Amino acid sequence: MVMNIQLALLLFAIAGNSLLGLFTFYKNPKSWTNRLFSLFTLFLNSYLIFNHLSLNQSSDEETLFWIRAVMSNAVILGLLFYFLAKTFPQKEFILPRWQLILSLVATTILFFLTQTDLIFQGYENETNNPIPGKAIGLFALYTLIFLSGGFIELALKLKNSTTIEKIQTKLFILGTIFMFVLILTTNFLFVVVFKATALVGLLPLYTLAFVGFISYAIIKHRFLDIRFIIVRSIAYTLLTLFIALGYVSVLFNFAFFIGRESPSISTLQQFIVPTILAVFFAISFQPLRRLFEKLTDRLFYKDHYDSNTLLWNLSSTMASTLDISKLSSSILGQLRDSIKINYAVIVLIRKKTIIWVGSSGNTKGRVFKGKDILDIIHKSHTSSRKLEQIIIYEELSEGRTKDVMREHGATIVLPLIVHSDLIGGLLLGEKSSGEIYSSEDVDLLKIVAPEVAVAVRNAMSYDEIKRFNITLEQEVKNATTRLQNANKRLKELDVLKDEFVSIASHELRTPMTAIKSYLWMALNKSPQKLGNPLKKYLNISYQSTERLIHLVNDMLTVSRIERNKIEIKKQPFDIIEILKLIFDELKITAEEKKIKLLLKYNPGEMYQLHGDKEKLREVFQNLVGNSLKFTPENGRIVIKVKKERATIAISVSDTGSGIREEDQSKLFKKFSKIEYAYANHSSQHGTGLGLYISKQIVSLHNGDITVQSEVDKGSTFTVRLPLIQDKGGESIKHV
Amino acid sequence: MSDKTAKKIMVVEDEQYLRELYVQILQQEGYVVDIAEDGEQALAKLTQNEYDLILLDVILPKMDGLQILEKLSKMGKKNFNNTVLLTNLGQDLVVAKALDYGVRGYMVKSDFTPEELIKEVKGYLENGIVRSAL
Repeated sequence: MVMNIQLALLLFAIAGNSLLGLFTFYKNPKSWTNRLFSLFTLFLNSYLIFNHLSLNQSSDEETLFWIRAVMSNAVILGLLFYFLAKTFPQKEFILPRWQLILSLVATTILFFLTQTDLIFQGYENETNNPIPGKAIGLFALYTLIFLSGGFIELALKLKNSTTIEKIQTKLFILGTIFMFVLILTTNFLFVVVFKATALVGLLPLYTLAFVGFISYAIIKHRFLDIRFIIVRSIAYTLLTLFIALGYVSVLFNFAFFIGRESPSISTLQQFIVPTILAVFFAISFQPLRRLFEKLTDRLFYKDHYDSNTLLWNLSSTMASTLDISKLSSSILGQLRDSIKINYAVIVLIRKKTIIWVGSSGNTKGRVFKGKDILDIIHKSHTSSRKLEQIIIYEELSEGRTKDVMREHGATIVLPLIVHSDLIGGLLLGEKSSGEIYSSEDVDLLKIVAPEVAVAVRNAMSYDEIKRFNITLEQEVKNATTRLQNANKRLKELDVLKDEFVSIASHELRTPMTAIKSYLWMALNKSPQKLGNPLKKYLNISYQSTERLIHLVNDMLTVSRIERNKIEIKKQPFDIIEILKLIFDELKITAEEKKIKLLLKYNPGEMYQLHGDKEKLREVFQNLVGNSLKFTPENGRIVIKVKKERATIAISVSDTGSGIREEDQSKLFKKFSKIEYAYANHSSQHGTGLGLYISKQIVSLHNGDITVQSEVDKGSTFTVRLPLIQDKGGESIKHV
Repeated sequence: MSDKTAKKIMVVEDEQYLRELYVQILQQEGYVVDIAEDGEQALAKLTQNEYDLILLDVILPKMDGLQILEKLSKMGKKNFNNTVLLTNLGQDLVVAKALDYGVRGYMVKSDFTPEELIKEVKGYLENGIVRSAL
C-alpha cells in the first residue's frame, strides 16, 4: 500500500516535472535559462526514478547498481544547478572558459568515480545503508562547491538585480530553499530525530515544488497568469490521453478482429500497424494540439482576444482616418475593449509641454496634463532597458514613478516614438478583471505603440495643416471684407465726387455765365461807344472768363472720361466734313495771324469712318487751334488726310516752336506741364487738358494720336482712325 | 423785329441776373416773355398758360426742372417739344433723363453769348434744330 502511494507520488511528480520542463523549453527554446532548466528537470526525473528503483530492489547488487546510478545523476544535477543559477534568468550562457572546462572535467571524473568502489563500495542489507568508499569526501566536496556556488550566484543576483529580475531570482531561491528545508525536515530531521521514515517518500513532491517555482520564475516575465499553465497542461493531458487511447484501441481492435482470423500475419500486427499508427499520430499531432488548445482556451479564456484581429482592426482604423480625435478614440476604444482595461489615454507632447490628450474609458476625472505625466513619458522613453521602452507598474520598485502611476491608476506607460523622436505616450489603466497584463498583452502593446505613434503624428500634422488652412481662410476672408469695405467706401466717395464735380461746375458756371454774358453785352450792346483802354480791358476780361469756362468744361469732360461715363454716339461720316468746317472756322484767325492754313486730301476719295462727329470735331479743333497758337507769323499749317490701309491718317503740321523730344511723351498727360508751358508760350489760353482729352477720345474710337516734332522747326500731330472699308457704291452716293 | 408775330417764351430761371438778361435780350427780339423764379411758380404757370418755347433751368428752388417735367407728364402733358433745357449742370444723366421725357434739346448756359442764345432760340422756334453742346 505504501509502496503504491509512493509510486503514485513519484509518477505524479515526474509527470509534473516533465510537463513544466517541456513547457518552459517550448516557451522560449532559444534561451539558455530555459534549456538548462529543461535539462535539469530531465535529470531530476531520472534521479527520482533511479532513487525509487534503488529502494525497491531485492538483491544487494542491484540496489548498489541503482544507488551508483543515483549518485552519477546527482553529479550532473549539481553541475546543472550551478549553470542554471549562473545563467538565470538571461538568455545567454555566460561562463568563463576555464570555469566551464574545470567544471566539466570535474563532473566527468566524478561521474565515473560514482560507478566505482571509491564512492560506495557496497551495500549493507541490515542497516539499509550503502557503505561509503574512500573518495566519498570528494563527492561531498563537489556537491558543496557546486551547490554553494549556485547559491552565491543567486545571492549576488538578488543583490544586484532590480525589479523583475530581482523577483525572479527571489522565486528561484525561495523554491530551492523550500525544497531543501522540506528534505531536511522529512528526510533528515524526522528520520534521525524521530526515526520516522513515513514521509521520506514525499521527496518527489518537493522536487515538483522546486521545479514549479523555478519554471514560474523563468516563464513569467510578467506576473502570471497561472491559468495559462493550467489551461495548457489540461490541453496537453487531453491530447496525450487522446493519442494514447486512440493508439491502444486501434491496436486492440486490430488484434481482436484481424489477428484472430489470420494468426499468420502476426508480423504485420507487430510492426506495420504500430508504425502506421505512429506516423498517423505524428502527422495529426499538431492539428490535434491546436484543436485542444482552442477548446481549452474557449473554455477558460472567455475574455481572450485574438491579437491578430486586434492588430488588423487597429491598422484599418489608422489607415482610415486623419482626424486626431476620431483616430485616438478609435484606437483607445479598441485597445480597451480587447484587453479589457478600464481606461486608455494618449498624451501628445512637444518639447517640454503636453499639447494634446485623448482618452477612452473611465479615467475617474484624472487629468493627464501635469508635469508628472510628462516625466513618466520621458522616463518610459529613456527606460534603462533600451530595447524595452515600457513601464509596467508591477515591475517598478517603489519610488516617484510608481507613486505617480498609482495616483493615476496607470499600469502601463509606453512611449510614442517616431524616428527616435518622442512625440507622446500611451497610458493604460488596470484591467477590469483586476488581473495583471500578460506577456501576450505586453508584446502586443509593443507592436502597436510605434504604429500608433506614426498614425497619431500624421493626424497631428494633418490637423495642423487643416488649422492653418482655416486660419488662412479666415485671413483671406478678413482681407476680402476689408477690401469690400474699402471698395464700398471708394464707390461712395466716387458718387460723392461725381456729385461734387457736378455741383461745383454748376455753381462755377452760373456766375461765370453772368460775367461772360454781361461783358459781352457791355462790349457789343453798349449804348455808349467804348473808349480804347476800356474796350481792351473788357475784352481781356471776356477772354479770361471764356478761358475759365473752357477749363471747367474740360475738367467735366476729364471727369466723365475717367468715370467711363463719356458717351460716344457713333455714326458713319466722312472726316472731310468736319475738317472742312474747322478749316472754314479757323481760316479767318489764321489769316489774321498771317498764317497759311491748308487742307490737303484727295477729292476723289472717301474718308468714311465710324465715330462721334461732335467729339472728333473737338479733337481736330483742339489740334489746329494749338498749331495756330504756336505758329508765328508767316508760318504755315497743313491739315493732311490720307489713307493707310485700314486707317485714315489725319495730320496737322505746323512751322511752330516745336517740342523737345523728352517732353513729347508727357504731352498727352493731364495738366501736363509741357502743355502749360506750351500754352503759356503764347498769349492764347489753354487748359492743359486739351491733348489729354483728345487722346482719350481718339482711344475711344480705337485710334491713336502721335507727335513728331523738332524744336524751332515745327510739330506734326497725327491722328489715326479706323477706316470703314468701301462697300460698293453706298458711300459714293453720300457725296 | 417787332413786326413778327409775337411768340410767347417762358424763362424758368432762379438766378436773378441771368433771368433779367434773358428777359432783356428776348424782349429786344420782340418776343413775349414770361418768367418763373422757382419750380412751383413754373409749374403753376406752365399748367395755366401755353408757350411757344420754354427755357427750363434744372437746378431750381422748391422743385427742380426734372420734377417739373415729371409732374407735367403725370398731369397728362405728353408733348415736350416746346421745352429746351437751359442749364449749367455737368451731369449727363440729368440731361439724358430730361431727353427721355421728349424735351427738344438742351443748352449749356455758359457756352453761349447772348447773341448765340438768340440764334439758338430762333432756330428752335423756326426749324427745331437740335444742337447738343458738349
